[in-house]
Amino acid sequence: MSDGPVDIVLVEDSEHDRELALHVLRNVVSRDRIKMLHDGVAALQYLLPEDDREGQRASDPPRVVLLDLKMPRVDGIEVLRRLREDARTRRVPVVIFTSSQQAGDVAAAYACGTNSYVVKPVDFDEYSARLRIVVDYWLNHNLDTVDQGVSE
Amino acid sequence: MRFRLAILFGVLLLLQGVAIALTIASPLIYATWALLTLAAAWYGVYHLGWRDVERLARAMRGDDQEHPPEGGDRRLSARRDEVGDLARALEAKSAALATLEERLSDAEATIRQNEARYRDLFDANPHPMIVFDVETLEILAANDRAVTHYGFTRQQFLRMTVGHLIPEPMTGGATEALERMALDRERPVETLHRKRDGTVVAVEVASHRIRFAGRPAALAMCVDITLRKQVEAENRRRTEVLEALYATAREHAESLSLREVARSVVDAARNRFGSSAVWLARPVGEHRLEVLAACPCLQTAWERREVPLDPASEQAMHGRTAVAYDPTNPGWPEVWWKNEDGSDPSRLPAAVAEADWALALPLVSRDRSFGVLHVAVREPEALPFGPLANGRGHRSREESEALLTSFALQSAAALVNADLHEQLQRTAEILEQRVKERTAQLEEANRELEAFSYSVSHDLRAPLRAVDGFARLALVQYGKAIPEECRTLLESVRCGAAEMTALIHSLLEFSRSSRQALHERELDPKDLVGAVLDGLKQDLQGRTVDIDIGELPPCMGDPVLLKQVYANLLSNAVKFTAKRESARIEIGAMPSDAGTVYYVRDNGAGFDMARAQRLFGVFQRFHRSEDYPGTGIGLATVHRIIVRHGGRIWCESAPDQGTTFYFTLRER
Repeated sequence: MSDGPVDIVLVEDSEHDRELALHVLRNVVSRDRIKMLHDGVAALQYLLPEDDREGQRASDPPRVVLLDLKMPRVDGIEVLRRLREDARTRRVPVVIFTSSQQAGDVAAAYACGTNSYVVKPVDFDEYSARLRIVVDYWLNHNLDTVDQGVSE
Repeated sequence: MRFRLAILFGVLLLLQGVAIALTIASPLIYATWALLTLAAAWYGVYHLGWRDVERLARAMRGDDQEHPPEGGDRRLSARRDEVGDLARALEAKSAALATLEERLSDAEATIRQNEARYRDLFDANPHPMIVFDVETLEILAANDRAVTHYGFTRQQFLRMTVGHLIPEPMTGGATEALERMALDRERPVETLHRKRDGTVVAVEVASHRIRFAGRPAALAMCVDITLRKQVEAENRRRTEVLEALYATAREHAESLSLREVARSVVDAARNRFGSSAVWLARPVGEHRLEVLAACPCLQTAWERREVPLDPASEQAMHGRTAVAYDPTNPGWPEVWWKNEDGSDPSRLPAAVAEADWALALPLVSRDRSFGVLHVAVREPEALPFGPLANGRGHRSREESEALLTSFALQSAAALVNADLHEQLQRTAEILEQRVKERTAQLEEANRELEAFSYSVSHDLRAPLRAVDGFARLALVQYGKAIPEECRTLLESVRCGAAEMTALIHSLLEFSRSSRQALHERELDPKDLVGAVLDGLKQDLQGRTVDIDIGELPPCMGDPVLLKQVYANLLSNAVKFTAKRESARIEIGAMPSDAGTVYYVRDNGAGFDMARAQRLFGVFQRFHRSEDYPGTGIGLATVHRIIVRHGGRIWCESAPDQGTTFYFTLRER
């Protein structure tokens, strides 16, 4: 794992899912631009560090955070909430990437400020296509607010 | 006559003149002439009139033997002298007398007739009739029936006045008497008369004015209505009883609680059926009674208290017959006389002390002995009989008992009904409680099941993704390097994963069909069908499928779930017609008694109806998956959804002859 600036942060507790995602993402960006985190605690530690690597983090937030919902200890909603509360990560694009289709989860995610909610298909071909499209959008089509230098 | 006598006298004078002349001539000749003249005179007088006068006299005397023959009669009457006058007068008087005699005999005949009629009208009249003078009130005549009815002889009647018949002393004098006799009244008057032996009877009197023996009088007819009055009184009593029973029955019908009915029974017994004190009890255990209701006139408030079973109650309930006894006897039910604390009172309650006898009436209905009703009865005062009283007769003890027994029967029916009703209610409540608990349990189990199936389906997806994903990746990344067989194996892995995905999808749908809240609204099934068919476009590609959509009336339902129904049914139809050259699918609706019946019909593979029972079960497949793939959950889901919509779903099919699915929804 590198500590440098990354494009994609993937927070996913299932090892299999992480592997599958990696296979897909590696065709989109180079490996060192991808940060894999295995649960909410790690995510918060990485994205909202307490120590003084703050400066770097603030100027180099990831281009998109792929966030799973069902995680032990600290779940996706909680991570999302914390990200939105902190000024450093408030405008980082977050895509909830989960297998849950429940309306309640969708509502809660949007209420907490997610940018997008995408359901993971079971079929691998569909899965990789969807993931690729989503990531492609956020990295290549969506314009960053930070890039534009829009002030608070 | 005058003329003839005149002639005679003339002749005699002449003769006397001649005689005198002759006397002067000769006394002998005179004497002879005088004698001759006398003889002639006598003969002349006799024949000229004297004989006829004698005849007349005889005729006048009525001496018929001497009645002259017709010829002679005519002769007399034809004479133009005094005799003729007399004869004619005599004739006329005789004729008049004969007429009078005729008339007299006619009159006598009439009188006899009238007398006979009079006897029929008056004397023989079956009702007592009297004639009385309107001024003096003396009785002038009485017919036979009056004599037998009143007991006076005719002579006695004639010595009486009308006042003697009237039992009470009259204060109003003659006017009142006349009123009593209904004189000048339009209708007869009901009144009382006293017979000779002192008996007072009820009579209906009608009078009218007549003249009798030259006096202003009245004819009164007195019809004895004693029997009628008795019958009236009896009827009135009966009606009162029936009305009382009816009113009581209605009251009973209005109250449902046992206690209310018991109280109403006690009230009715007191107010309508003449009991002075009442109480009602039912047995508890073997030797005790629970008092359900008691009248407030008793010593204590006995309601809801228990007393020992007394012999009268036991006898009544066991023998199912009324038992009469004396309520004041200390050996009898304590309810009548004991104090609240169980001590003996110094005085009996008034209602009991005044009672003459008591009755223990069994309360039996539908062959169920419910309990016992005790009533204390005071003998009613002997009311004066008669219509001027209140028409009520004196009710005998037997009658009272019979009446109270009827009342007890009726009350028993109402009490048993109320009791059964209460029991029924209690049972219903218990059952309801059980149902509630059962339902809660069921709902809980359902919820668990659904939560389970949901989470299972949900949690299975991630590993499935892994299976599919890694198999795919292996194929993608190393496909060229691995042997054909291995590739085939990996393909199989992917197939398995795909199947499992479909299964899980169906399961999720099925679980959602129950868990998801029903958002019912008015919708047009055509829209749903259209959307579903759009989704099936891919499956229909390359095939000739004739889809016929008929009239689909709007309905109430959850659009998402009903779309599911059509999706499942149509995908089945599409699937099972895959082997047909020209597939045909009909989607329509038809009216019926139960509302609109929607249907989906295909001409596909069909199945044997004998197995239709299990058609809607979960995981039921009637065809091999090689022939027709499927999860076997689709129809179970459809069934669930239709049931949730308050409808019914059924099907018709035969092997190789297509299938039709029918369903109804909740009535709008």
